[in-house]
Amino acid sequence: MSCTALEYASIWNALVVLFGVLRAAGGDDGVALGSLAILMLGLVKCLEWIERYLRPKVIDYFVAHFRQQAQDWFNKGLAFLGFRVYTALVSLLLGTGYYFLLKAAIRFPSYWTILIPFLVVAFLAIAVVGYFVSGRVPDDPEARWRYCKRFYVPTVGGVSLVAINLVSDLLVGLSAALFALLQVAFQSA
Amino acid sequence: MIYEYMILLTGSFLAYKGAQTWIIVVSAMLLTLPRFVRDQQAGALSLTTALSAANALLFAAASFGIGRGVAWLLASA
Repeated sequence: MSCTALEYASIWNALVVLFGVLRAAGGDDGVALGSLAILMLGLVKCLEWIERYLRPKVIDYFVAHFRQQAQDWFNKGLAFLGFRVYTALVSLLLGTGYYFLLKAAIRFPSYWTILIPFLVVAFLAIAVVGYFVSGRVPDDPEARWRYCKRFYVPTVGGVSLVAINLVSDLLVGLSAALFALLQVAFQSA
Repeated sequence: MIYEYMILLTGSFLAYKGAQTWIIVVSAMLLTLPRFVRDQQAGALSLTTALSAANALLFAAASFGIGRGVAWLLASA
């Protein structure tokens, strides 16, 4: 069974009348509170679904994925630099997190006064985390520096990826503008 | 979920009344608090707690947006 256009119109009309009656009875605040109470029910159900079903699955996937990557990275020769598999895992996760943070920062350039100091502090904080999750780093400054460099590899990789993205976007935009200009020039010639 | 519902509803209503964006951070902190306390007591603060906080921030922002949207709709209706 389906409704005709006339029935849809009368349903819409009834809703508009109901809205008017509710607004007259409860005022704007009452209507807003009522509609927010209904809308928040949907939002809270969505939150519940994500917390119960989606989040564990996502975490399982990412932890398994990054653990495998960390294991491979560790086996490539990080073992004697003060790395454990856990250290490599944390390093990869922080690098990925920093990548997303940079992408988010680029999306909101008007907040640069907050974002730039935050990014600098976050970049430095990675070294602090690296200190706390390190394994047996040989006791000399050169070894500590080598450990630090390796710990930063995923983060620097993320930063480079963002930079490459930016440059490629810029080049594509510039070439598109250039072609548009050439087209205009040829048409007017 | 009643606790979460009350926080999201309050956040969205305050957004409707014209509260500033910092209400998102407050709502997100309140949403994360129970999980944070539970994980800390269990000594299990981890990636899941951080993801929970990020999720709370997302939903707090959504409730703020809905509140502002309702205000805009009522002003233009």
